[in-house]
Amino acid sequence: MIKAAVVGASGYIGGELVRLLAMHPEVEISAVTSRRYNGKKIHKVHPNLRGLNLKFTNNYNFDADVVFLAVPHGTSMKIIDEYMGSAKIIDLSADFRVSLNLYEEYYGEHLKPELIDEFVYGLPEIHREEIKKAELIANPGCNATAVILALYPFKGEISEAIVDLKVSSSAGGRRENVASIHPERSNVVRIYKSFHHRHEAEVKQETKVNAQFTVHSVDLVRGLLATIYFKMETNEKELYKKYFLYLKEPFVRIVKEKGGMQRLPDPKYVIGSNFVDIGFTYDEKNQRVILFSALDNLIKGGAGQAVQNMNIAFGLDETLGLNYLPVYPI
Amino acid sequence: MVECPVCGVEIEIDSVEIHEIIECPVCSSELEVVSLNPIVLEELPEVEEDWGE
Repeated sequence: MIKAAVVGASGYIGGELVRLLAMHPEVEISAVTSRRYNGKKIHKVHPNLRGLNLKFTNNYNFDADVVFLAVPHGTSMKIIDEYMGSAKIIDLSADFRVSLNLYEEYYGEHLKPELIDEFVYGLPEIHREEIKKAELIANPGCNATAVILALYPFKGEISEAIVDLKVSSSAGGRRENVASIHPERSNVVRIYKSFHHRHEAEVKQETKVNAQFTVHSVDLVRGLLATIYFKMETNEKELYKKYFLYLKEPFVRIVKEKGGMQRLPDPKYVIGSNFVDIGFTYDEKNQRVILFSALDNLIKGGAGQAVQNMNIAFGLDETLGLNYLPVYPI
Repeated sequence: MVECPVCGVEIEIDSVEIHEIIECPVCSSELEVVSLNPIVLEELPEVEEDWGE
């Protein structure tokens, strides 16, 4: 059994990690940490986890083969020395996802620049072979995962894209914020960031595409939809062929139907799963490709992808503990 | 092997009858067998729907 510890388990991603790891047939959870909730049973913070015999601890001297860092951005680089060398580390913060140049452009000063190159960017569909040998894995951002997987087949063919993102409230984390209380957050279609969103850095690094994000907070608890636009002379059959590279991917589904309940990706139909649904249309008149990518931000955009990375890094079946179909209706 | 007219994937077809409807394993398009020798597939037209726009 793999001993797994979740550092920062009181957030939404941390809670999802505990849920997925608790059901994983090859994992034993050795610690769930939280300074704020030290000593409390886990269901006091994550009510859905009632029945798990786990308590938060602030004792960081735990025994683990893999440590998940589910801490706020900027924290991983402060605490990572505690775990280096003793366990594989899967960092769910943004601290080690991008090169130093991109980090400084989008985030600011980095406290551990010498470690950035030691991390593998944990997007299995692109970096599976490197993840197999990795000790340090940087788990991608949720928006970045959706956009990169949609755009990756066009790498080298386009240099710019416009990205419209509709993002749920859980993507904003669990810290109290007046903008997130129910009367303020409910029914919004709020422009959260009109340009220069931080996840653009990951897209630039992985696809070489300068993708300009406009991010809207919408009235969903989970899930996100990315709509991506760029000019290209092509046709729908050629676009289908671009996505043949994902035919054997266990968690990528191409969704493009001409009728029925769902014609193109919609976060409604991926919630609770590790799937990313990708679809496309082609506007012949304007020679514009429009891509759509939907995922559950807490699973394929966070905890599920981290477990997928763990499976790969430990030589397990990549889908172990992740073979859940989406919850429906939701 | 017959090419799907929608997505271009090569579909393995053992035996079919004329006007039989098959589904592409990749793009899920419904395809009609319009000729047998050689086998030719055409996309089945969809009923247009009003989604309240």
